[in-house]
Amino acid sequence: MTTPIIEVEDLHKFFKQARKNSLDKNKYVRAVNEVSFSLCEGESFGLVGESGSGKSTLGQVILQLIKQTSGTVKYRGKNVSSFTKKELKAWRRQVQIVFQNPYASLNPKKSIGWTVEEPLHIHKIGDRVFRRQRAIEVLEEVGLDHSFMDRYPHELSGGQRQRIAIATAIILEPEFIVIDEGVSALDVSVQAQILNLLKKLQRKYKLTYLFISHDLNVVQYFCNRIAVMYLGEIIEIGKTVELGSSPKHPYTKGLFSSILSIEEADELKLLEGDLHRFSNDIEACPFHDRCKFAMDICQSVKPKRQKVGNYHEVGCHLYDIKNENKESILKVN
Amino acid sequence: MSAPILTVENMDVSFKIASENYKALENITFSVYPNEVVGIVGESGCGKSLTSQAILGILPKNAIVEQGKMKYKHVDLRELKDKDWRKIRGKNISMIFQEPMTALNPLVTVGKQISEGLKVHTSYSKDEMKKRTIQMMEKVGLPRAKELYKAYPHQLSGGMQQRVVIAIALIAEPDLIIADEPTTALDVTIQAQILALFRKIKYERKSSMIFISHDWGVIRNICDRVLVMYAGHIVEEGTLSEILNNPKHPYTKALIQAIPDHRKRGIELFTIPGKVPSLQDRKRDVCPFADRCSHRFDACDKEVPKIERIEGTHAAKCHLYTKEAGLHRDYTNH
Amino acid sequence: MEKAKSIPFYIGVGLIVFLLSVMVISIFYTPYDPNAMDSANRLAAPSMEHPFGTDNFGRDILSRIMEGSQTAFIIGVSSVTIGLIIGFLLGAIGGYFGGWIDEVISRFIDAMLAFPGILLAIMLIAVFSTGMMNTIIALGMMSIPSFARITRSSFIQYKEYDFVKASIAKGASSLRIIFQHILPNAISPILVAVALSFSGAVLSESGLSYLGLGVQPPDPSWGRMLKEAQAYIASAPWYVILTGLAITFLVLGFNLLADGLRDKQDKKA
Repeated sequence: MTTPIIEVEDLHKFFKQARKNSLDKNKYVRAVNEVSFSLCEGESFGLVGESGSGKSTLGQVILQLIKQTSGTVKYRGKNVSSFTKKELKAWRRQVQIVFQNPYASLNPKKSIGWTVEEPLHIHKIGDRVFRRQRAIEVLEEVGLDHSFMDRYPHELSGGQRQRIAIATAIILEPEFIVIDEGVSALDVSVQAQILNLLKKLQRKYKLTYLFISHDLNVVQYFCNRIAVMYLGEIIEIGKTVELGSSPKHPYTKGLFSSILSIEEADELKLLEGDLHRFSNDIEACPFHDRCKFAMDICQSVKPKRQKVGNYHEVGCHLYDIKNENKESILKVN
Repeated sequence: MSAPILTVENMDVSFKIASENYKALENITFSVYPNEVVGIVGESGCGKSLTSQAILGILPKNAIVEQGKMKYKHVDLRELKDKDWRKIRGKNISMIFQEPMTALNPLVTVGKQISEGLKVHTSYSKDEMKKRTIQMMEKVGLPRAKELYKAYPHQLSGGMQQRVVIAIALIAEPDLIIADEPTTALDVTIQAQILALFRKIKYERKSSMIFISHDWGVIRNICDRVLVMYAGHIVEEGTLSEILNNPKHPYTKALIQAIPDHRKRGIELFTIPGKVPSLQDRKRDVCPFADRCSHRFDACDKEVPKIERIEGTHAAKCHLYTKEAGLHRDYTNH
Repeated sequence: MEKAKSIPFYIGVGLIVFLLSVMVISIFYTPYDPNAMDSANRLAAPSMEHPFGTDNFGRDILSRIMEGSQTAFIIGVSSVTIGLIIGFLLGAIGGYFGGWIDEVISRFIDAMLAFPGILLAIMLIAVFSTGMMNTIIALGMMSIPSFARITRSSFIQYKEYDFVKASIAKGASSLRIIFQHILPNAISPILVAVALSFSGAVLSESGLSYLGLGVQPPDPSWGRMLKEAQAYIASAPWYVILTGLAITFLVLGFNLLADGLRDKQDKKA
């Protein structure tokens, strides 16, 4: 593997509990908890999980749109929290984000031209003529023409808006883009167009993507590596081919067996229960209360992530060295 | 085959926008037979939700059914007055929506909302109603039904709320259930749970269902027969395997090929050029898909193709298959 | 497809335009000198000579109402401007940055709201003495909390929007976010507040002048005219009625304008 572009070390983000919930006595919501991983240059890294798993928060903490509670994010070896204001602004040219909802990601009061040119304004690049010309270039690159410059977001379809959002993200020629559910709100045929566009841009600009999605079909199609999040923690991480074909964590297994494919319609394998942490216990495995294989140790010791393949790691006590016999239990089930 | 539970024939629905009439559904014809799940699949704006709203008589204010027949068994649905509708909705035909949170009244307990259908449509005693409600809650997989009977919707998770919505729809034992994207707002694992519940309902209760979804994976896992809609037309219909294994309409083919999954890794996804035309931009009296179709030929711009039977229950609305224009054309599967 | 605005909205605009033109005319022309007394012609009923009659000093009421419209507009515009600028800045800063600074600003606004506005104005005038300038400042202070609150809530709403976050992610400065992204979207509720504040200011000025605390002679003021007129309510009812109508029309005009703007905004949402 090549050099890491992003390194995340022991990242935490806690939010104060907004409302008192009689079932949840925790003072904080641990949106991101003990997260460590790194992203290699040029890869498409998928971050999957159900709503409430903290995947969007993690993406925004990496871009420093939300400040972490503790832990570090490094960009090409430099700690981004220690950036000065000037360094931070310069860094923002290198990293971008595309959001899910194409209806909220463009300012409704501004023309498309204004929106696409804005990054150039912010970084004081070029004069008026250059900026306009560059904006038209980028529009063409995302499959739209110059006639869009004077139009407004409400005149465009969801797919066109998402193309604009991508245009504003690539106009500064960044190295790294977070795509936060960037194709989830789109229809199948439009989704395919956008996915192809993202692939094309990746080849051209040698982009690195952090691709956040709940759609496992899309992630498995699009990404080389996948990390699975559950209640703020990465519980499994690996290459798509390895993790997709033989998921190890009981949650990942359940998640992947919940994928509805058009190829086969056999018995639905179900994962019981909902994603809700009712227990107070931060020492326990986050999944233990939903896990069919939960053992005593799962309630008292949080599992460390350990290697189960070349690039494949899982955080589950079933794979503790002492528990080798548990592997056979898993196979039976 | 026994008599259909629902028949819709040549139905047209129009929207009135700024004193112009726009046809949103054209020539919708299909039937639903007992113990059958019919899937309606299509992209947003193709008219799949509108079809269900027309059947239930709950169209938006500026939309009207212009012509066509809609019959539930022997009842002409277009002739029904509000008073008669109340007897049919819930009791004979019931509806399940996408967003469970907006379908439930936040101020009324779950138990009361479920038993409401019994209050309206039956003359059971209070105890009997409660007993049946709790039985129904257990059937749809709501745990600790006696406790949850007194819970309010916001105390439940999204998946549990959707189970409540399903219980409400089932309580009066309707023989036709219309479910409009009932799993779309849910997480994958919860979606699988709810889909399993629908399957259980299908096998245990033998009710008929119309299942609306944009997600082919969902359709694949629940439906017997499928209608593919595009721009207000049913462009193809057939059994699940006919549609998935041997799609005929160029739109259906393209749509199925556009679905990403791990088997297509490294391959560029198939796409359809352009976008679904908005209601105002639709062309009349030509094939609705012609502008985006890779097989377009002269007949496509002359008239709307008739729906043509290909074999058995499989039919497509495409000039490639019509007698006048297409049969003599050499068309091979792409 | 912009739908036609409601009829009340146009009535409001019509009233404001009418009174505005009356004000402009009064700068160059009034039928009589508004301060010229005519002791032979006291409390005369409306006639061809004096269409609105005369007051207790024999001054022409029409001329005085015309002249008074200047005071009404000057006070309305100036006090709203003061309230808008200070209120907007407080609300924008609090709403955008949040945290302790928002906490301080919110408590300050709460404190101002807890104090009845008119009482605050009276207190300020008691301390700094009466007069046009102090009246404007007092009324401006009165309208700060409503502007601050409306601005703050819009800012809190819009700063969570993806387009704002996307712009921050591109390196945009806070000033850029506030003025280019949030303000254009938050402008319509603020415009409604401007219209409402204007009518509020006119009404409050009349109230203060009625109490003798507002604009002092010789500056003409509708409120003070109303106070003088009430002594002759039986002998010269037209005096009190016509002055009251002038105030009513201006207040009504701005209220209808505000309603119309709000309807338009609701329709969009």
